[in-house]
Parts: sequence; C-alpha cells; structure tokens
Amino acid sequence: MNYRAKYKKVGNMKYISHLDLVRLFHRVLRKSELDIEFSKGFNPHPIIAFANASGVGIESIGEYTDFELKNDIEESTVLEDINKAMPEGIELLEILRMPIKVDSLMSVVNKSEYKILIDLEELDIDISNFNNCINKFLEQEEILIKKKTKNKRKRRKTPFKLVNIREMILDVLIVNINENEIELLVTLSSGSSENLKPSIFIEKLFEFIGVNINKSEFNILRNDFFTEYNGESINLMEYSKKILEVKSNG
Amino acid sequence: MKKKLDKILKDIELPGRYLGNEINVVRKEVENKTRFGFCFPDVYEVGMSFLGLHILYGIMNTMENVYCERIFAPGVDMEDRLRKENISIFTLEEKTPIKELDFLGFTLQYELSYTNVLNIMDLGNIPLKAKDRTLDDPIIIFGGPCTVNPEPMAEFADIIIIGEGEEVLVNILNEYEIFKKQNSNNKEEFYKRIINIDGVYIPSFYQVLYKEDGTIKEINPKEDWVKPKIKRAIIKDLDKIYFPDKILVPLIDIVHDRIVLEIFRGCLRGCRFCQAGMIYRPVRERSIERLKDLADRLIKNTGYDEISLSSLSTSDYSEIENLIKYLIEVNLNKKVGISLPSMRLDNFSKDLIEEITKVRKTGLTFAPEAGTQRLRDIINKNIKEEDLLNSSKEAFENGWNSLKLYFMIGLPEETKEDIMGIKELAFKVIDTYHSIPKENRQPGLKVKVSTSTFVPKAFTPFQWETQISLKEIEEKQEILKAELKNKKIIYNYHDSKTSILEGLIARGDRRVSNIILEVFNMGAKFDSWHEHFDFNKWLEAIKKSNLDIDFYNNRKKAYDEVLPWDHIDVGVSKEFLIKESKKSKEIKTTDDCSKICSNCGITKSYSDFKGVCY
Repeated sequence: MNYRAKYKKVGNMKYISHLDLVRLFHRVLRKSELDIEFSKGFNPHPIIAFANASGVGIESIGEYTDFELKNDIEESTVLEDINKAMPEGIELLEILRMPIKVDSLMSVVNKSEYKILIDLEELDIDISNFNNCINKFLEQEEILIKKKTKNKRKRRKTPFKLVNIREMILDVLIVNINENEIELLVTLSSGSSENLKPSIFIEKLFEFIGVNINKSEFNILRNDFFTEYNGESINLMEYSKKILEVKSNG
Repeated sequence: MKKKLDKILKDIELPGRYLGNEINVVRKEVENKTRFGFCFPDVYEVGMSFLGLHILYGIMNTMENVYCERIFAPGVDMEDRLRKENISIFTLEEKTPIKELDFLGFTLQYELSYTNVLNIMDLGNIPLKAKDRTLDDPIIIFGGPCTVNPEPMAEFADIIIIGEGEEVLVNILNEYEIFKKQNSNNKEEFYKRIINIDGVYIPSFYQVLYKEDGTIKEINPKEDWVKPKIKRAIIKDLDKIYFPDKILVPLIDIVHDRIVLEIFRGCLRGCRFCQAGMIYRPVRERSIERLKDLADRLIKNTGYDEISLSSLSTSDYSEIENLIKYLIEVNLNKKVGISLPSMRLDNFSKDLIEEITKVRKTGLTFAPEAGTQRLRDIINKNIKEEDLLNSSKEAFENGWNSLKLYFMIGLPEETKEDIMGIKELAFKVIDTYHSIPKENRQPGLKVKVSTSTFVPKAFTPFQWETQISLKEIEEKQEILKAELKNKKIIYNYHDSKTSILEGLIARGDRRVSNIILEVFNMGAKFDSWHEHFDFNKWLEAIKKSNLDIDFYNNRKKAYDEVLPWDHIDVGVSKEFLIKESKKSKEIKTTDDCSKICSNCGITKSYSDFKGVCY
C-alpha cells in the first residue's frame, strides 16, 4: 500500500542536507518495524519519494513524502509507529492512504509559501519606507540572476545564463514590521519546471534596497507546498485527498 | 547562547557536526547529575566512527546519576567563530560550556591527536596542566590505547585510565558519588578512593628522576600508600560485560556509518611489531549466541542497513564460519548489508569464500608486512608466500580483480633484499593472476601496494629498536616507486614526517610534554590531517624544548634501561619481550597462542578469566 505523508522539519533539523534526510527516512522506516517494501537490486532500500530537494537552512511545517508498505495498515498506526522512531525535530503531521495510483509529488508541486523573519539587530533598514521598497522591487519587469550552466562542456563557452525570476515571485505580504524584526509571507514558484529559492529572493530584494544581508540574519520557514486544482491553489495534502476522491468515484 | 549559535551555524561548513540530534541520543535532566563529557579529539565524522565512544557513552548513561555527553574537535571555521565571539566549546547535547562539567574524558587513539586535546581544553578555558587546575575545573581523564605509554601527556591529566574502560569508569563514577556527598573540597581525597582500582594512574603521585646521560633513573610513587605499578584494567568476561544494544545513529555522513559488533579482544598471533597484540591479551571472545542477539537488537533499535565486525584478527574467531553464515542470512532476510573487514584467507574454506562473494564483494587485503620470509620471520608475521599466492589464486578465480597488499618499511634488520622482496611478491601475484585461464578470471587486474613506516612501540619486543630516519624512508620509497612502475600496480606511500613524530611521542617520556605544549602554543592542531600538519613547527618546538629526536628514536636502548612506561603493567612481562627480541635477531619465529603457550606472563597477572589461556 502507498502512503502520502505531510511532515515538519524544524529546529536543528534544518541543517541536514537532502541526502541526509533521505538516509534518515530509510533508517526511520526500518526502525519503525512496519513492513516496508524494498527496491530490488544490489542495494535494496525502502521505496520513498519526496516533493522537492529540501533546502538546507530552511525549517518547514509543510514537507511531503510518499512511501510504500508491503501491507495495508491503518493510517493512524503508520503515523504513530513512524513518529516513535523519529529523532527530535521531524514529525509526521498527517498521513493519507493511497489505494489508487496518483501523480508523483514532484510532478504536481508548483509553488511554496514561506514565512520569512528578518532580524533587524545588525541591519540598517528604514522600516517606514520598507513597504514602498517592496512595491518598487516588484514593479520591475526583470529581476535577473546568474545561473551557472550545468553542462561542463557548454560552460566553457557560456559560463552562466541570465534568468528572469520576476515571474517566479508570486506574492509578497508584510505581515508584521517593527524595529526588531520584519515578518514576510512570500509565495514563490516551486517544482521541477520553475523553482526559486527563498534565499535568492531575499538576496535580490536586499540588493535592490541597497543593504548588505547575510544568511545569519534571516529565518525561513516553509508553510506548505501548493499546486493548481480547478483554477485554485491548494496544498498538496488537500489536492491528494481530492484526487483520490475523484478517482475512486470513477 | 542558542540564538548566537544559530547565527554561527548558518555561516559554517557542516553545521550537522554541532547539533547532537541523532537517533537514540540520550537526554537527561541535568539537576543532581554527575556530568561527564566524552571527547574524541577529532571532528565529529571521525569521532562518531569510534566504537569505544558508543560503548562508554552507553554504559555511563545507564547509570542513573550520570549524564554523559559528547564533545568533538570543532572544524577550523567553527573554532575561528568560537574564539572571535568568546564562546566556550560546548557539549553536543546540552550545549554546556565544558568547564562546567564534573569530568572531561579524552580518548587517546593516536599520538598526533594530542595537540587537539590541548586545543579543546584551551577552547574550554581549562588550564592545561593538572597542577594549575582547581575544583572549579572538570577532572581531566585520558583513556585509549596510547595510554600504555602515558608519560608525554601525564602533566595534562588528573587521571589516566590504562586498559579497558568499561568497569573502571563505572567504579570511578561510583566513588565520585560518595565523594560528592562528603562535601570535601580536597581532590586528593577523591584520588585516594580510586587509586587502588586496576587501571587507575594518577600521574601527580609519581615522580621521574633522570640520570646524567638523560635516560631515566627511576619512576617512583611520591607517597608510600601509592602503588608502585599500575596494572592494566581488563574485562574478564566479554559476554557478561555491557555492550550497547542501541547506538547513536548520526544524521550526517560519518566515516564508518554502520553497526559494529566487537567479536573478541586480544590476538593470539604475537606479531612482534604490533602493540595491540600485546596490550590487549589474552584473547577473550564473545559467544556467537551473544553476537547474534546483539546483532538482532542493534538492527531493530537503529534502522541501520549495514553491519560490520571488529577485532584484531577476525578470521581467528573460533566460530567465524557460522557467524558469517548467520550474517548472510540476516542480509537476505532483513536487507542489511554486511561489511567484512580484511581477513586472512589462508584459513578459510573454499565454500565460505564463494558465499561471501554472493553477498557483497568486500575489498581484499593481505598484509604480509615484509617482502621476504626472512624478515617476516624476524617480525613473527607468520604468513608464507604460498599462502599469499594460493589465496590470491582463490580470490581471482572467484571474480576478484583487485587486491591490496600492505607492507611496512623500516622494520628491524631490514636490508635492500627485503625491499626488493616487496616488488617480487607484487609481481608474483600478477603472475598468479595470469596463470589462470582468461575465461576463469575477471579482466582489469589492479594490485595496490601500500607501505607505511614502522614505528617501534612500547610493550612490544621491538621497543628497544631504533626507528628508521626520514632520509632512509624516502630513499626506500623512491626505490619502490621505480621498481613498482607497472600498469597493473598502484603504489601508495605516506608522508613519513608524521611517523617520525609518532615515534618520538610513542616512546617519549614526561619531558616530551614540553614539546607538545610548545607546538600547541605555536598553533599546531589536526596534525594527522595533511592540510594542517606543519612539520617545521614541530621541529622548532623540539629545538625550543632542548630535546633531541634522535635520543628517543635513533638510540638503541639496552635491555636494562629504565623505560618511561616501566611503572605500567599491561600483563605481558619484560622477560617475555626480551626473549622475543632476542629470538627476532636469531630469525626464529614463535608459534601462535593456540598452538603453544609462550609464557608471555598474562596468566600470572590475571587468573580466572574466560580466555584462550587458562
């Protein structure tokens, strides 16, 4: 039976890489003693897939994973057993049994919503003008970043290409602003076709404002992953439930 | 502190080293606990691969009143930030500055880690010398194999544990509980309580007197209630003693990331260059039932997908074939990979080799150590050339096409013939490969020859020998480089400057601590790391200390010279070591303990244990 789970990755867990996370899930699934389905071949491992390569340095309360068990086990049991085996900082929040095949997480994801906290202790920002700055930033037609050419051979002629990320910034909202910190709610394109890292968004925003900011001065939390369904944006869990309903009703 | 740390972690390499959030990490309330910091003086990825850490962390945390946390050497980038922002190095679990701990224990696994030990104490604002510390500082304990010659680090330790730590540490901590209740502010009273425990060495209670020629006159206890000799701590029954059935599972990549089962301690081969073979006698095995049970529980409690075996000579385990068969079963049923260490294939059944091939092709390593039978006899490494060639043939016929051969250069009585012997063996292995018809072997043969530099160690029959000079090492490496030039051979050799220093420290006395302190003050650290090692700093430090490397490394010692470790008793007698030393010069071998007892003395020192010698 296939399962889709929404999980959180908070606190110190933000520092582990995607590869570390994959290995962690492999081990936690084994430790949970649930009857896991293994891949075939020389190096059998639990069958598991993720929505996105999770960014290092980002906390999240909206991550997703798909995995397969040999048997059909009740959702709450699966959730409990896995959470018992998890180390601190990672926890399954919700789980969905998927008796029917659905599209992979990676293929449906198209945006992410982030809560961004900027620590103003060491930064010199005019908070009264900040809203204005954001508006002006977003009025630009082009916000260009350099993307390193992946192909080594091509890289010799064209070391990088310019990408316009403006279209990938979908929404920016100032939730709270005072002399200690700024809280933003930002929606960015996410997924296999177009993907904008929140740290790059921040880098470009502050470059535009003319202030030097470094990684230790902001905190990023992903609230959720979203996809399009019937013209609306819904999170992946809601989407998965809807798809299952539709498919099971024929 | 947490906010400060968070900011730093975002800015440095491998923040996962500093988190302490592993699967199975132990967290306790700190109130009313004796706090013990276990430190492996290298980075997280190295230290977490050390089996001893898992054993001692586990056993101390089973004690209700003890909270054992871990400390590792910070990366260079982290250290810069700690120093810049005046943050003390802290424990992984609670992020407590190490100065606040009751005990700080360092495991001394290799001599070149000593500057890291000092560096970590310095980062914790703890005075380096024992005499400068007060009750406000943690009690500094050293353990690990290097402590059989503890003298170069004696000035920095309050307590040194010699031998196997499981019981000693528990006893020390129990005594500390009692001492705490007495509300005394006299550390010496605590030391008096523990001094008679086997394995406990309190360096401040001993003094060393020197002769005019610089050799040692005597090593004496300062008080009459102090034992003149320190007996090594030894675990009698490996089945009964604690072994963790649950271990820390790291979140980041570490060097050896798997379950390790310690199958036995000690070794019965008696190779004359090998310190471990002498200081861990006698052989004591874990029963196969115990090992199977531990394997099951560890797999269940960790989620690891790989299991490995640890011992000094795995193929000598009495039930190795059954153990491997069992592990192969586990591999098939639980999809847990098995990693078999290098093994002597000369005593393996043909079927077993075929079985192992099915599961995973492990690296094949042979360690003849010397290129000629003559030199192998001198060092008592009892491998015959036919064994090596037969095993290679077996391996090639079973699909292996790559092989590693380990040798040492600078062995006692070594001649040019012995060096050429290395080349001859390598080529004979190639010939063996070619003697097999093409259809019965895999293409693409690679023979990897690796030479390291022999360093004479304390408590071996070679402890009186001179060590080869830097110039001679380099000459011999050049000869081999030329002789082994062949498409099918890869020759690996290590920078030998570190071996010179290893020799100085391994057989050094208390005066060598001045060199270690001096070179640390000059900024030396991570000396076993190629990118950080600075030989010139060491040379300068040696000069400043008015000591001479040659005195320690290149002087042939008389059998009756007082050695810096003479007050330590590992169980093997000096008479035995002298006998073996003389035998080596007569090119006579000594059979292994299972064939004949050579009266090494271990049975006289320790009776009533479950071991090979009864």
